[in-house]
Amino acid sequence: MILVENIGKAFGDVQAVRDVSFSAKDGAITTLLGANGSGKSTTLRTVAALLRPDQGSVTVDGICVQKDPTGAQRLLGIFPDQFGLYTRLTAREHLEYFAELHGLHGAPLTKAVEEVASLLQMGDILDRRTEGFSQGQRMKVALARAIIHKPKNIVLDEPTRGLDVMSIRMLRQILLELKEAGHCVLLSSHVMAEVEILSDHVVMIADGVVCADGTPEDLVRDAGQPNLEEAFVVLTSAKERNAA
Amino acid sequence: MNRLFKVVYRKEMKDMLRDKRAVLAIASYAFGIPLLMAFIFFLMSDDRGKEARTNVAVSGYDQAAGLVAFLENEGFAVTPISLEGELESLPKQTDAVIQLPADYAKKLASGQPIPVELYVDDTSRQNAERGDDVKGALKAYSLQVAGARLITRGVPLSLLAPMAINTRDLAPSSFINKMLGNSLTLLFMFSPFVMAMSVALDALAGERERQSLQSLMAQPISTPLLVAGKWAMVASFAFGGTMLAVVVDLSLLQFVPGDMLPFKLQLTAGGLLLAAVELGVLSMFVASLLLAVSIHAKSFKEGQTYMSMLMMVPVIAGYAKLYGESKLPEFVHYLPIFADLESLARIFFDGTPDLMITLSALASSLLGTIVCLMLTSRRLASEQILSEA
Repeated sequence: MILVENIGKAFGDVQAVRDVSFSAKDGAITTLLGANGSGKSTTLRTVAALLRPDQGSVTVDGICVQKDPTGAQRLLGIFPDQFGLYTRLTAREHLEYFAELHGLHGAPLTKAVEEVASLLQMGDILDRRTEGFSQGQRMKVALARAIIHKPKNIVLDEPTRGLDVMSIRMLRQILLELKEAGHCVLLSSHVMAEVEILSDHVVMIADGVVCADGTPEDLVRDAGQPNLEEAFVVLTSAKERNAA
Repeated sequence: MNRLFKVVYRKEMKDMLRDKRAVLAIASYAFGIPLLMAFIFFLMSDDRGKEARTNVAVSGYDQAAGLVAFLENEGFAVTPISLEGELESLPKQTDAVIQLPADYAKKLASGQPIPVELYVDDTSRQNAERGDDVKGALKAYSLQVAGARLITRGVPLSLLAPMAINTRDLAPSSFINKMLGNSLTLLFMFSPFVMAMSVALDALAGERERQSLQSLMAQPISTPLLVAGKWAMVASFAFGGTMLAVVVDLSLLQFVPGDMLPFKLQLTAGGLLLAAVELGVLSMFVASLLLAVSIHAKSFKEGQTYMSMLMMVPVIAGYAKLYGESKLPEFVHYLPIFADLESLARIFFDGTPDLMITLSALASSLLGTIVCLMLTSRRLASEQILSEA
């Protein structure tokens, strides 16, 4: 479980996150929904211990990210917005490297690689160097390395960006399986259809502030709109009006 | 901690050994330098060999039998030449031309001063040396004639030389030996820079360019440990490549004929071991310095610009040491590269290491390594790097 409490983060004069609080529970998919520049990625980077918040705190399964960043990182699987693969390494070598950084070695490491490769249907690309991989194949490697150590909490920053329909469907299926297995899945997105299908819990962020928080159905109902997209427009606009 | 260090090191080595640029840099430097040296020695060598005699053409040959005999006795090949007016260039296969006046014999007999023109060509070192030899022989003949005249007048020759000067060179190495030796050592100094530049760039600037830094920094490994693993990889390339260059170069130099070498190598097992230790520590320093530069670049291309500026450092240091040693402040002699140049030249060419200088080189390189690694870790842990990544 990931608990974010009143975090704020500024980069010089730019206040990227003002006041964001939410909880992402185990066995559920929590989505940060917001426009570009709303503070979603900054919030997720703070959860991943890549940024230190100026205020507030983040805890991952009870471990404070600010006090024990590596302790928290052991409990997290990170799927960043850029896949960033090493083109001279094979997919298997990627998985082994990240698994070893999480303390796996020997037989458990081999078993973990085989399991994740099977889960993501990577048999045909496992021993190929990642240079020249398609976007879908790159996504598989990035996702596999994020979950190779079977983290309880998985953080994904706009995971479907740049993927084709088949890859999106596959990713969606895997995230649902992870949820069913009891993992805490926290992702960011601005694709309404994807959020509506996947999410158990949506946190709408506008201008670095949480403007609404609940299930997709609750948010649509509370906003009095026919769908999540319309609800998002109404709820974020109301927040901006209040701020003004 | 130790295990994570090994994990990072192993991955980095595997990745970089597959990098054609890195492997090509090592191979081209290690095997290119002997070719460069062979070319330089070829240019420096005397095409005709040491046994070839210096050719001197004498205008007025018929009236200077004594001079001709003296020159031939000194080992010169003397030929007559007919000369009118001033000479503009030396005839082919001639190293010097001596032009005697028409009244040479008459003036010689009457003891009058004789103006003699000596034409030489200083275009090349070899020609200049041969011209100097002829000039020296002419002076010696002049002294011999003067001596003969004084003796016939009852004047002892010792009056001509009131002082007998005996020069004793106290320099640990001769200037020319030291300069040429330092040039070779300088090539070894550049070696860790050349060998490790590409991998150092890829290790940090490359991570930023391919946007893999975020994923890596989100793993449960401390920044200093991550930097240490990458640094060990870069240092391995720097040291491995440098030792390959040293072994290849020194091995090939053993096959070069002694008279073609402008210096004499004094290699001992102990000296080589000491040199290996010193080059190892220098490689550690260079690796840390390259990483400290690489971390400031957002891309490989930007890093190459910074690296080309950094490469000026050993070049400037090397030339300052070679040509301006006496003008450098005292502390400079204890800095990395400066101290290494001196120490390695002593080991390779004098055969007597100066332990004080060697220790200075080791200590300053180690200190530099620690400072550079701390700066790199600090920079890598900064949020600015990640927000730009």
